[in-house]
Amino acid sequence: MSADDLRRVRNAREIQAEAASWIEVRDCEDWSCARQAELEAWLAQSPAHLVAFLRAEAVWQRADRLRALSPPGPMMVPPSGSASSKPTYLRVAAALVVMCFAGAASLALLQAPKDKTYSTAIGARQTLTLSDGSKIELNTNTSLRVAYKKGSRNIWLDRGEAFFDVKHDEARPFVVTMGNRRVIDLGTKFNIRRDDARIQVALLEGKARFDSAQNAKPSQQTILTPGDVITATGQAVSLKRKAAAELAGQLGWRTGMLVFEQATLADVAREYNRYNRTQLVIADPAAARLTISGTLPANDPGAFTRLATKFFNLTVKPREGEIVITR
Amino acid sequence: MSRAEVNAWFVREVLPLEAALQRYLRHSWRSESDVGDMCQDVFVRAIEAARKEIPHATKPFVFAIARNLLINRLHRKQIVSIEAVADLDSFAIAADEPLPDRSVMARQDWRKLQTALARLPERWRDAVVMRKVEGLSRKEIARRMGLAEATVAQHLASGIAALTDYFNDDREGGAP
Repeated sequence: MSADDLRRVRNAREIQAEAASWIEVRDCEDWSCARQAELEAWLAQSPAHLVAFLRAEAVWQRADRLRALSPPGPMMVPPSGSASSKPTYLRVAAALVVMCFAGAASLALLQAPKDKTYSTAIGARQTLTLSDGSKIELNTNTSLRVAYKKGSRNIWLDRGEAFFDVKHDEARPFVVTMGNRRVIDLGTKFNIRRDDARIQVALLEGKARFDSAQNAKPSQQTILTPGDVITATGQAVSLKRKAAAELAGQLGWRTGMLVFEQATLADVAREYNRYNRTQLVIADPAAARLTISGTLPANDPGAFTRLATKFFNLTVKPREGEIVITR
Repeated sequence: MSRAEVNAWFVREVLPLEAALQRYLRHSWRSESDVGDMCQDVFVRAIEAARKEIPHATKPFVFAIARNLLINRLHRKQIVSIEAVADLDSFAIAADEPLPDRSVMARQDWRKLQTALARLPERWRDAVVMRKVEGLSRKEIARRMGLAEATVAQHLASGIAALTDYFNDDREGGAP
């Protein structure tokens, strides 16, 4: 190897070490805007810096999945013998994590929480700013309870849909419970929708953990990263990744809009009926299967019925408390 | 083309090619110790070119860069035998190989991460597990390991760098 080559190899290693240091520092609590500016300057210095950083960051982000402690994905059948070949330190770590959360839960029970209840009427929206600066936006027909204590922040989403923008505090976990399922904040913005037995969590920023059972075993815990949408219905849990734009569309409700992408008229009616006392009824099965895409105001079913008459030649008949749509 | 778009393209389409790229370079270049450096070179050239225009087919684009780089290096080293550069076609680089679906990829990632983690030296690995799995701060890790915070920061940074290399190295057990 020539001296020139030697220098280049050393440089590549050095750059990688620097990139790794940046990633390590960025994880720290005292990461500031000033440090962010320094990092950006370093990245702009050379494409080699950028490449090393993106490469290490991609792996380090993926390493979040290590928390799952078993291969991710629903319906996983563990290969025989995998449990015993799993490194011991990971199993120990798993036990630690579970114990911490189990401890927190039993403490909460002992202290008999004095919860505060917040509810919205059909068609209404409300934003709560909590004492720690976290924000919760309640969508239509939603009810949740908040219990803030010294070492814990517990929310119960009893009905409806809410968007959470959480100020992360390691010493005071933020936990949203829906029946026997929970979302545990790890520094995040996320949306939860609960329709009876179906629960859907969409993660926009940061990280959160989803537990699909009361005292979730590691295999029932999923770490969510941005774009992840987890849906739990009955016993089934499925995880999908969506593009940022698609996710933002789902959150149109935060500005009073309903965003539809290839939605059937049956779906559209169901959505509208969450927001309005006057219920839309699609009385014709063939009409119910027609699909539309677009953005419509949630509190104005008229916008939809006009579309139905204009584009699909459907007949709209207002009746007592409902609007019936037929061919 | 915005920098953010190029970076996103790089992470999404170029980085996953690293294991295949390493295989190709290792096959064509005798000196194992150069491979990491050459990979880095290919990536830098790819990202620079993409800032002008993001290529339609990423895989052939990246491997063409690698091939040119190999040829230039051979010239510089005054090695006459250009045949040393493995023929791209004979190396069977499928341009349109579909990516595995997301859940399969997540599972593969998880296994690769486990393997990579197991290869780390003990102290680095302990620090990485405490940070990633237990979510501990640098201070808390330092307390548990009985080390200075600065030492923990070094262990973590070394762990991150090594994890990155091992994750992208698909050889069984890997090279030293």
